[in-house]
Amino acid sequence: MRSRRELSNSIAKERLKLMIETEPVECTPDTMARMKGEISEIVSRYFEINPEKYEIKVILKQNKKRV
Amino acid sequence: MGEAIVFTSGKGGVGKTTAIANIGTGLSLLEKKVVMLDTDMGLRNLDVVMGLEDRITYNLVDLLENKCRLNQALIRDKRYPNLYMIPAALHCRRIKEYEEKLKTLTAQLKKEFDFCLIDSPAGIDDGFHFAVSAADRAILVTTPHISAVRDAGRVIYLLEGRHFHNIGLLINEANERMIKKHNMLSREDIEEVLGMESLGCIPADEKVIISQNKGIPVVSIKSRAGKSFLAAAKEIATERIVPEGMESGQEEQERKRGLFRRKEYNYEV
Repeated sequence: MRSRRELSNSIAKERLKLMIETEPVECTPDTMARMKGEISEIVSRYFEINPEKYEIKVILKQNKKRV
Repeated sequence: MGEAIVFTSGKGGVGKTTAIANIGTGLSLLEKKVVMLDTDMGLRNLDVVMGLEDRITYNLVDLLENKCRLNQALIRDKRYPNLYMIPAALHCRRIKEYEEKLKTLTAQLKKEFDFCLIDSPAGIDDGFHFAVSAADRAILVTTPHISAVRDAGRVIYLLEGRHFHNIGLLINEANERMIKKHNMLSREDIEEVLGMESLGCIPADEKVIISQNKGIPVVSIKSRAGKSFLAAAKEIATERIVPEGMESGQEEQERKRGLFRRKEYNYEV
């Protein structure tokens, strides 16, 4: 008996989940880095932070469902 | 007041036209008054699948351009109680310009018909937006192929962007033998991936091809696919939006919304 992970429908399902969850936002790593830079710039105008010590996570929501 | 439902898929060849032909016929067998619009300009096929290709004189574009009257473009399928279709044109440039006219036409058709089923072309270009523009509800047709499911995911995203709240899912060409061996995405797999329940799952059936060769909808011959299409038609008929002036209780409406509501997934990372 093959393990569950090797079943081809499980593989398809995992691949699809990844594609469908991430696809709507197409953003190159370059653009993301630039955007994060600008965000940290704005945030540091209001708070005393050292941008290097903070991590910026970007979460885009549409209909509160998708990233 | 009737309802306009667009059948769409993103990917081609998944059975949009087959689905519309059989669900349209199924709804007419359930004593609903049905009109089917083919918007797949240039590559029209609904007429062929229905066996009505010899009856075409005018088409949808002629009608939208006021070159003919509605009853000249409507082809009545005499084999069924209340089934009509309007074929697509063989040529149509700049389809986008006809969106407003299509909306006016469907509004007019909804006064007379219980269901106005719109067959959309494959793809997500202008033709897709044209087909979708006049619809109250969308039914997404997919097959268990990974490419079809992915495209369905893309189309859901686009439909949500167009504020479609009523999206149904219909799975076509499911091969039970392969699903049993876990070598094909099952109905449950597809529902999970797309985050919505399906209103039907049609088994792959040779009778679909045989009946189409003859120009007869598969719902009207004894077959497994036909039975499933009829069940899906029943599902669509009962999930129909309540007509104005006949509003049911809020509880009922909540229930209806619930069935088509996408499961909430937390996609945050």
